[in-house]
Amino acid sequence: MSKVLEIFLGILTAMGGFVEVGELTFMLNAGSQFDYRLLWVVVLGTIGIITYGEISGRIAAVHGQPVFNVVRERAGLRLGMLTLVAATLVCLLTCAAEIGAIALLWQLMGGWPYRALLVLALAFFLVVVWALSFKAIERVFGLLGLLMVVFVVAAWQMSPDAAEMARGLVPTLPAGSRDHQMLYGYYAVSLLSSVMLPYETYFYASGAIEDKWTSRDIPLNRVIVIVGFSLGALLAIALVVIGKEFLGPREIEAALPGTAALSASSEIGMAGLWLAIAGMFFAFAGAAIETALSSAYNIAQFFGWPWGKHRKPRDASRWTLCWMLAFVLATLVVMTGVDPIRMVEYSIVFSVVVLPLTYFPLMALSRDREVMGAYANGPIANAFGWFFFVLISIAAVAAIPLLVLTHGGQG
Amino acid sequence: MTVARSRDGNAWWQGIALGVAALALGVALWHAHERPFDRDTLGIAISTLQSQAAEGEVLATQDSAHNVPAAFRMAHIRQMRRQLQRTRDELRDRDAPPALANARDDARRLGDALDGALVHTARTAFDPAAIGAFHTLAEQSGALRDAVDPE
Repeated sequence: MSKVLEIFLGILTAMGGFVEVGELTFMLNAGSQFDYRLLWVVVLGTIGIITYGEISGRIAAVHGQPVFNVVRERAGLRLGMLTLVAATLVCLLTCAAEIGAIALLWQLMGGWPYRALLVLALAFFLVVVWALSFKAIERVFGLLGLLMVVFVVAAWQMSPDAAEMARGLVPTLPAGSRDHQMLYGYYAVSLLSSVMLPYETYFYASGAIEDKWTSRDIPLNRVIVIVGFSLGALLAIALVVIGKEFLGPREIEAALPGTAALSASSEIGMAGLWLAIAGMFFAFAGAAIETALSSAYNIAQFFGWPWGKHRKPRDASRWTLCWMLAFVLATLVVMTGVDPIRMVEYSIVFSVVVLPLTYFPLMALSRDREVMGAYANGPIANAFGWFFFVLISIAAVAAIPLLVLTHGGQG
Repeated sequence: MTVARSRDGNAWWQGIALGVAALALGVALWHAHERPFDRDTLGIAISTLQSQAAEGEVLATQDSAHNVPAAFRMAHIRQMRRQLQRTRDELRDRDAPPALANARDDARRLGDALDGALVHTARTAFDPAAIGAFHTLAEQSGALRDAVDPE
């Protein structure tokens, strides 16, 4: 019974933690700009994150190695260091954007000054991560992030055309100017990156070790990533629907969390507005914690320091200092006045550049029968793993030129 | 040992390449932001005005339907105005070639009018006239954008 409950909660947690502020704005704007033409990217990216989530969870369960331990072992010190620096920067920028978005959400509730709310958010995160256990953090923010289901209800009430949605599962270049087609390419790369954000695998694998998974948990790992991430993708698809049905006809570009909340209130009224704000708060807060902890996990695992919430802070003092510093640095970044939504968009585009550096060592280890034994990749995991590795490598090469050519993704 | 050295060598090259790419990107984005408006970039700025006016209309409509509390209305408008200010600053500070100067001046005026409409809506609850005002601004911005950048 407890196993069934664990699977159930694991699935819901994976679903509730699927969307963060960058993914929210990209999905809404993708629907607004290109109708359902980018739905195939959401599905493709979900299969990709399922593939690499499963691989990283399996390595953690069988070999007890988190991602950056593998990166250092397989890529060597200097190439590993390059990956570490790039991944930590992306995690910090994403964390900064989530903290900024939370301050914007809190401001919507009470109108307090933005910078004061940033400081309050920093204090909130330091207290929460210090005081709560790993399991409690995972469950509270993952499960309450499920309030985002209000967007699925709103999307459903907008009566989307199922046939048109089905057509969106087949890649088609939109008609129009070359600039418009380039923007489509930019959105395709960005959506793929937003679904496959690298911190998800760092946090997932580290979490598997925090939860003391063993090879007996491999079926649990598979069910959680397949069912949990697929349900999470439903949330992402609902946002594309809202973008297409609500924002698109009005030519609105979602650039604030309040815009998303308005789409929910338009269908469900005041209750929809509050549920959307609460759901976004828990989803963004979960992402802020995951990115800050991921920064600390990566650094500690790379240098071989003791790490983890399962240890007392004094027994993992450098790791504890790292996640605290991550929150402080992220808050300082948004304190400068930079637009958090614009920043997370850039951070997502840069994430795709980091993805191949992270995924190659994972592929190399997971297919190594000497290390993984009977739990090494089978033909399906190998085929999917290499397919997505090639795909994200192409996306990584295309990402920066597309960013420049589309004026930072604006057209 | 040889493999390790080769990996280290690759790492140096990759590190340098990454640094150069980041620098090039920074220069390209800075250059794009500093150079005078062209049809594409002015069109983007006007699209932002159009989007904000349309969002103002949605907010005023939701407000009239009592779907949003006053605190939300005022705070959301505050956030929208902060974003609008970035576009207004850009329209004020960036040069435009003679062929686009009039359009840029029109866009400035639309930006000012939109800011005024947002201030009014923040102060006045349930005002049906605000819906129409935002609608007109959205239409005017859309028409100006289409004139500047028909693509």
